[in-house]
Amino acid sequence: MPLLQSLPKAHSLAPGFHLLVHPDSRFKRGMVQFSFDCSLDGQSPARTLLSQVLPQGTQQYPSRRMLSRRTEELYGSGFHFGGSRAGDTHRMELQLDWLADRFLPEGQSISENVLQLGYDLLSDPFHDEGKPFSETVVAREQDQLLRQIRSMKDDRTAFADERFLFHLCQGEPMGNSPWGTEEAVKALTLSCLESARLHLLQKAPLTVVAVGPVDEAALIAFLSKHFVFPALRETEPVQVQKTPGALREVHEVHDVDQAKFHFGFRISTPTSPEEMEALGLANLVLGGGIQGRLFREIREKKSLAYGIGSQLQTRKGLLTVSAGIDGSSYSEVRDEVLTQICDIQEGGVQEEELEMAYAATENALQGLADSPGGLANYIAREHLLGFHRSPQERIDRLRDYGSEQLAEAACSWKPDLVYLLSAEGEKS
Amino acid sequence: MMIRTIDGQALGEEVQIARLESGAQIAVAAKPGFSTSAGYVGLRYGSTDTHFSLKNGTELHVPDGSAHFLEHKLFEGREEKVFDRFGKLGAQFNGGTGFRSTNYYFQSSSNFEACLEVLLDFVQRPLITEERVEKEKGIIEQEVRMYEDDPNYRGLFLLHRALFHQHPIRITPGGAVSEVRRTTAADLQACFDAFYVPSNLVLSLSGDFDPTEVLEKASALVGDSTPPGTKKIYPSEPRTIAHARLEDTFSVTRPHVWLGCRDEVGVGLGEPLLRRRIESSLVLDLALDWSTKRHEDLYEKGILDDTFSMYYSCDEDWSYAVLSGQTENPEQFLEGVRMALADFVQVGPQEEDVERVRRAAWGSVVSGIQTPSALASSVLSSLLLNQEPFGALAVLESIQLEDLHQRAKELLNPARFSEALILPS
Repeated sequence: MPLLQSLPKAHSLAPGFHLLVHPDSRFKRGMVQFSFDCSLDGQSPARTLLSQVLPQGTQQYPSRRMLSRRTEELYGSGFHFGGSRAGDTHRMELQLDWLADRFLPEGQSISENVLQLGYDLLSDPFHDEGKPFSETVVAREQDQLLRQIRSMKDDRTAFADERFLFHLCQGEPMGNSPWGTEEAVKALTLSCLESARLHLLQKAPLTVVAVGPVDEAALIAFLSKHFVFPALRETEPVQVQKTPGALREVHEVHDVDQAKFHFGFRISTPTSPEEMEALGLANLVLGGGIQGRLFREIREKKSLAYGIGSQLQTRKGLLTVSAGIDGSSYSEVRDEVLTQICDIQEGGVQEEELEMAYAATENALQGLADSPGGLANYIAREHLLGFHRSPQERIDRLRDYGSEQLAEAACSWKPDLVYLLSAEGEKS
Repeated sequence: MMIRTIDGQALGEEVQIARLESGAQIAVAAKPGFSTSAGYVGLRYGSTDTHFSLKNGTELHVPDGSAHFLEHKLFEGREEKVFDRFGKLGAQFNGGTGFRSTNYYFQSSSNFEACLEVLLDFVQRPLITEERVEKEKGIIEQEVRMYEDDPNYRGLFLLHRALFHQHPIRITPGGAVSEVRRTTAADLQACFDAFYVPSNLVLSLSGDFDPTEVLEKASALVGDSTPPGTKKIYPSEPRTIAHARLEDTFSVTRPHVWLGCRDEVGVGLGEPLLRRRIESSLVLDLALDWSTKRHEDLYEKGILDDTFSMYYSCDEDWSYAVLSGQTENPEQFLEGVRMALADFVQVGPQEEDVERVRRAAWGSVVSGIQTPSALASSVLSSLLLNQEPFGALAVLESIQLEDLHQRAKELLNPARFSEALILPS
């Protein structure tokens, strides 16, 4: 069956534990992605610190140096463990990748070694006798995390993103940062970390996606042996939806050369594949790339920004617009964003815009077949949404959605908050 | 048209390279079974090429950032914006301006031939007017200001000014806002006429297609004008560093520190440059990567943290290593890194470590050309640097322990170390 028509092979290994496999011998590397989904809550700082402590060593390879040497021996295999914000979810991901057997000396295979290394990282961290971790390692990484929190302001774009989400989602899990406050990090103990580790390993909802040259049977056997526990895994965190009141505007001052502009809209979470597709196309017309109206109007016609675009967080129910602008253009940019959205809501979209949105979507979906990482993310997202659509199925139905459906999807977009981070006195 | 075939058997790839009568090169690599195809076009003309002479002897000085500005303007197209043309075809596309080269690309799942036509049309037939240039200034200014907000970007160019006396890589590719503002349509047209000629163009294509057919199609789309006889003019660069240390202040929470290790001179293009790049990268890995005891000691003492990084950058007439990080104590950081490098030079690399990092580098080279886009990009980079595509594997396999020790002694010479510090304001 052609690649784009096939759905990944899905295996439910236990309640809350799913494996999705898309074997593909064209790729030179195999990859497995473990996603543990927790809520963004008071435990998030412990998980973040854990993501820094675990890569410092296992009992077999008791330091970062020994782990690095091991991955070099395994032909530069990759392992990455980290966390990110996905709506109200704190997603912890372990990603492993390795070179396909056909590029190794005859008879060699390294996938099992890499999987074992990844599992050891989670299950058998380097520790002092009688303790779950090394106190020295935890203290050092705790200091490091504190320094990262203090220096967040140095990355002005990331800092503005964070401040925007804080104001937009105040009181919702998404308003919390995954790393928490300095006080929360300072208060973390070895037992907090151990509790977070055991929760991930045994209780957090787990989705594993494997793409590329992977041995499906061996993977199932490995995962069943190591990740199935008597206790049931929890269900996915629920996303908090909010209806906005009057438009809020927040301006904060920071030492920046270029002002950072953000606009947050609340949207209805799609409940069907049809609603989801129409929403995606409407976002593309608004600002999902160079064919979007924001790019054309604000960058190309008015020269007010270098980059501007809109992004969807569908499960959370958010649409956000971001741009780097001159602070003096704030009102003009804000009004233009509102005008373009209002125009789509009331007047729909033009035929040419629609054709470009179809073409971009079709190209992106077809391109998935050549991108192991993109494919893994697509598979995981479809699983999370419960839609289970193959890329080809979506391509085949794309032209069912016309201007009317896109305008209808855009009608649920309600402005909530405009945020500007700029230098003192630089705001219109 | 002369055609040769490069067999990258160990990588599972093959590429055909044609040189047209105009001097243009076209590389075609088939990727059977893949859904996407990619086209890259590039030329050896970048941000450092602001001073050049024409065939009639006239010398031209154009504003800093002209190559980058021109890249922006090419995307405006002639009758229709390139954004629209590629948008209708559903293709992803972009461009980039480096110090010595500029490239443009598309990636698409369908309409390959139409995308190829767009690509080769807009890089050969622009319309540059004063009105169009004026309109772009606000956009480029925002781009320049975005980079100026990044302490790492500022620090890197502070380091360039410390390492080099005159070399134009001291200037950012986008140029200062004041240079952007004084750029004219005449400047950009002069740059286009001098450099965007068939003899300078390199085209690299990859996808699930018949290479012979694609080669024929692409050849017909490349113009056939004669070389304009442009000569690039660079200032003479002394072999020594310009400054042992430069400092600047910026709104940061703790100092950002860079240590640059400059090579005395460049080695030109081709295999010598490829060998130097690979050897130098291995030297850095062996000296101070996560897998070394030196890195472990500095990390455990709190002298280095997760912000530490290092890399090697080179072209025909410059090369240097950069080791950087953030720290509360810059002097301790710099002393720690300098001592670790000195220790490595003294002790030299060990056979077991060399084999291990060689194996990791091999894995990286093999998997770095997994997709049609990655393959086309890699082949383009090689050809622009006058290197054989897939040549990295042979170089990697041929490197001896003593080669690396010798490279370490040359590169990690404290007499050519410069420091750059961005301190909290």
